[in-house]
Amino acid sequence: MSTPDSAPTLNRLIGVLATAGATLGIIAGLVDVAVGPSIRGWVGNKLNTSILGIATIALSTLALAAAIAWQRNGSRVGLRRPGTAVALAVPAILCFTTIGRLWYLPGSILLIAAATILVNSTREDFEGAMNARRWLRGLLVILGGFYVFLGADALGLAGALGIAGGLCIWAVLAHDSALRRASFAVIALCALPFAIATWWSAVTPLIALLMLVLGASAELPGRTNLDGRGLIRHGRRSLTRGP
Amino acid sequence: MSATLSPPPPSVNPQGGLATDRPDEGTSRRAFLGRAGLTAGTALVLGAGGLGYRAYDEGVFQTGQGGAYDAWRDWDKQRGPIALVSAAILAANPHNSQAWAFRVSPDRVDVYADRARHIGAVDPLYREMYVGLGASIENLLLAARANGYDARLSLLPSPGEPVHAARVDLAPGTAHRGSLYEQIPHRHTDRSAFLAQRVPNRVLAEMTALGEDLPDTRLYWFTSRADTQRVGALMIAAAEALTKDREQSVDDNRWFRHDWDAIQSHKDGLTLDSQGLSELTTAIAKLLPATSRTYNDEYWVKRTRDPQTRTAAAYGVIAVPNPADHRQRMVGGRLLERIHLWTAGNGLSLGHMNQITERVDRERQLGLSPVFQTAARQLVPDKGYEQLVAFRIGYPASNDGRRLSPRRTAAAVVA
Repeated sequence: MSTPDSAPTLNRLIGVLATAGATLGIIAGLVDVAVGPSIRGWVGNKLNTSILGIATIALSTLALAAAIAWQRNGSRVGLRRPGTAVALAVPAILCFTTIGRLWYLPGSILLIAAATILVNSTREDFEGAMNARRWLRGLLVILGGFYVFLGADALGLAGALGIAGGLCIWAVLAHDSALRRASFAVIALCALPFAIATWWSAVTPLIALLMLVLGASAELPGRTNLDGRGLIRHGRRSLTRGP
Repeated sequence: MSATLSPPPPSVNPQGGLATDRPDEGTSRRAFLGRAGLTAGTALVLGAGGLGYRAYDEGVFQTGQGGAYDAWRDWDKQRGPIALVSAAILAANPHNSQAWAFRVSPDRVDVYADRARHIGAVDPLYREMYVGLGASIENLLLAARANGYDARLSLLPSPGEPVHAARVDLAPGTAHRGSLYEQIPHRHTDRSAFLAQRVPNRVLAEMTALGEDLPDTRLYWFTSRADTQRVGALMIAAAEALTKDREQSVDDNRWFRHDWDAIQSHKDGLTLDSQGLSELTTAIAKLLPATSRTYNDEYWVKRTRDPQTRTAAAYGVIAVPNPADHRQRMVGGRLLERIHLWTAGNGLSLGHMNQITERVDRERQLGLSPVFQTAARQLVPDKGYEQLVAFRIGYPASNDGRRLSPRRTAAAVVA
């Protein structure tokens, strides 16, 4: 864990690493889109280099946005720390499956940046971040990402439904609306069309089912009964109280 | 005091329920269940991610897409003699091995057997390879007419060189897109279930007439319940015998492409998509790890039994005087392709059933007791003729048997 004196330097280093990794990732994605078919050995022998290149650019842009926010904002405590770590680590891990060897360098840099954030975070940072509802909504964000990914893989109308459904779920989750029933209804509307159009795949109906269950748990009143309470703190307190 | 001996009265909480001895127990249990639920949810999301990646990696959403299937979409986009090859490569052939190569010049197309693509012990005497070449030649001739060529066919034009299967000389002619030609991109081997619906004799007669100009070929139909059961039982027995022959089993499985990358790389072979399974079953099979040879064998026998033989409306057997003769094999292959194309244009489906002849040739190769040779001989009533190939036909119960098979492009097979 960093000392108060070393923290600013370390935070700057994390910002530089994250920005460099994300920028290199975008460049790698552009290379895949431009000349992927000519260098298949370097891009993991993938069939759809264009789609995977674009997916890499999109995910790297997400990491870059997190890196820029980290550098600009003076406050790097609480939820921001694990949030930034996740925003760097998820693209870093996912893109190891998209563009092969081209991702080795940017992916490693992003993972180092994410790991540095996590190692230098306090327990309080996580306690503030880990709230049951936030966790469930985080899982929904990931499921929305699966929809975008599979939608990009599928073609035609079904693919468009997948991408639109995933983006729509992200949009719903970006706004912590007070109308939670309405949020759940929109999540259900986003989840079902792609699952119905590709019911035979077995995968999308499973993801849609998870979206509905997690969406109901996160958004419908009285489903979780854990809102607003730090999950780790709450759990630890509960479990340590004896008779 | 007696009061000290009595148990204390239970306390009542403000909601009217009984309070527990340990007030935090309910909270603790809720917290535990909440955390367990979140952990399970997280694990399920991770599992769904794994399945999603597997679906992507195995092309679950890409059925019939990619370079391995371009040949079906681009089959009539070229002009000149290469257009004939584009049609020829979509023909029926054993195990989708595509054992052909072509040499193209402005006034001639030569067809060669690519023996490196032989399917081994499954076709030990090259019967199916040359039947497949005959089917390919038929498509080539149909395309020649459609592209305005007057084509003249010479089978085995180079004496002593059976690899040179055919030469097709091209001269300017009148373009005519026949009905069979139009069906070339729609012809698929159907391994799915057929409807319980008889094929009318009139329809069978039309198919029989397709071979009137082909010398030394005869077509026999088995349509009665007794006949289809007899032929079906023989096919099942042959399938079982084939799986017990290790070399045949190994060579049979060698042409099965289990993963999407292999399909896109090789552009040949048998795939899960072409097995006539439902969309859901096919997707699940792709998500699961590849199965063993033994399991594949068992499943193939099972599928031969049901639905393939159980739902066959009729069997057709093409016979020639000498099935060992490459020329007769190719002529028989031309008739087989014509029938297959005709079924595609007339609402019927066709599945190739070569189990019996694969065992017949294996018996001949190894000098085994002629079990299937004797049985196959009894299927053909005319003396002097022997079974070359067999197939089942019927009305399809679904579109499950109409998915594309991977194909190498015309450019890849032209020498």
